[in-house]
Amino acid sequence: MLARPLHAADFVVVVHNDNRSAITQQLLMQLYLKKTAAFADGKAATLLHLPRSSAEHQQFCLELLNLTAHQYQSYWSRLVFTGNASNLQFANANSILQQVQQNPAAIAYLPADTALSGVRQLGFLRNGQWQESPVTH
Amino acid sequence: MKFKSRLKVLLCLLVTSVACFLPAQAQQPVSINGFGSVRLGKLLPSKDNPQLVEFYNDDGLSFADDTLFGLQLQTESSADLSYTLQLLGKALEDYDPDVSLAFVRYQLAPDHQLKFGRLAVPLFAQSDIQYVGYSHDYSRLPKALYYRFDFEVADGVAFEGQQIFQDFSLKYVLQLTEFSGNVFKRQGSGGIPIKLHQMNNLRLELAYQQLQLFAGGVRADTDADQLNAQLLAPLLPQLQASTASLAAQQQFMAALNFNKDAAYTFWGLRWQYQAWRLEAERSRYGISDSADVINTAEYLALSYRFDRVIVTLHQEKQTENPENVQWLTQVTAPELRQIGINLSRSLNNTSYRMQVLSLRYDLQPGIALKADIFNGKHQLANVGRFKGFSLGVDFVF
Repeated sequence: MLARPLHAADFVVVVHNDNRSAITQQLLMQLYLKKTAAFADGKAATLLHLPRSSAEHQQFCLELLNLTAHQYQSYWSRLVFTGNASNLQFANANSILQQVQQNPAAIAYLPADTALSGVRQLGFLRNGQWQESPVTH
Repeated sequence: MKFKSRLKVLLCLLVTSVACFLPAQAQQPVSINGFGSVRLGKLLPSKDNPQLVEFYNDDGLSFADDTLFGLQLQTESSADLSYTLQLLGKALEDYDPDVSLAFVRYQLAPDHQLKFGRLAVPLFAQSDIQYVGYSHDYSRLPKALYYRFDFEVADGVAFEGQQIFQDFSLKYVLQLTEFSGNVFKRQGSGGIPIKLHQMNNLRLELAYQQLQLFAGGVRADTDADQLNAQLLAPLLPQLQASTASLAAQQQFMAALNFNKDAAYTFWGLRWQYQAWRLEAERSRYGISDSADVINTAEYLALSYRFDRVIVTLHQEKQTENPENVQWLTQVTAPELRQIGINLSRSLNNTSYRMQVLSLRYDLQPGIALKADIFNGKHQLANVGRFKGFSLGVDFVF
């Protein structure tokens, strides 16, 4: 059995329209592991995830973090039971889009073919490689 | 069940009930999380049981040694202020719940926080999650280090932070705590009271991509009059019967006295490469210049992940050399040295190594089945080789 599937999916990473921070793959990884809780501008970040049992969530964990979704939950439980994090927040794509539109702190990943509106696209995660979107003002 | 235990259970029920009803009343809901482990295991000694702490000391299958339940309540009164209460009940203690965490957290900035209250003492790298079996891949964290100390939580204040430097991330925890409680509780009679004053704790973690280095330590002033009374006072008749001068006897007792500095240090690394993971930790600890020896403990673990299954092989080792005591440099009289060595041999005799093969299977989100087989050797001639196994389930919700 392989740790990484043969066909990796593409994801687009989005934030609130007012969030002008740039992000690198390393910072994205650090955010999703809560090794930092803030964007590059120092403002707090709120992580959103596609449903826990979805193929997309499992794929994102593997591509970005080199962890299975189970391992990611295992890792996150360390943060919860030391009182350093709340539970992971899961939602479907539509709900995530709404939350990102409303919450300036939110950051989320969505399937790359999701129709986006009212959010800022930070970049794409393709085959485990980060491609930053050009900054638009 | 004793009155005190009943009172604790009632208190827990009350806190949980209030927490359940709070969401309707309060602006910020109370989040309720739990964790637990249910495990049965058996140790098969070739001679005597090594009597390691909470490690299948009785004959037959044991359900109690690793079985425990934890409940955690968390709420926020503002974006900066949150409250955490964690209760832990172990099967070995008839699920009599202990407050394992109880603190107020003040968020200074997204990456910096202060905590006040009952905190986990970072004796070792994973001390703060040692009871959350789901959070690691072992059936139990390596026993040589994580053998469950009586002073693993203490009351005080902590400053915690993390910083990003380009591709590096640094996490740091600074604590100042005090402990007052009993040690050697598992040896019967409720244990021996000690106090650890001014526990200065530091933990550092430096991460670069998939490599993580960590180190830390604890230093404290030990107030152990009862320990002296119960372990050293019985030596007095032997001293008086010796030919050593009174001054030499007094110097001997002062050299063995436990009211000295206690120090714990640890360091190690974690490295993940694709489906492989390597983890190692080493520790050194003891009460310096006393009858206590300097203990060393270490483990090296290698894991491989097959999707839902993780196989881990680790070797762990604990060493207590009864003659590795600093007071020997201060005591020259042969009779006194022999009395001290005899005491040291009776107190400090846990030296063993063990190889453990662990299997973790992630059944569904929040539930992991685990199994292990182990094989070890204790230095005591009456113990020698031992082996055993365990099967269990770890969960979080």
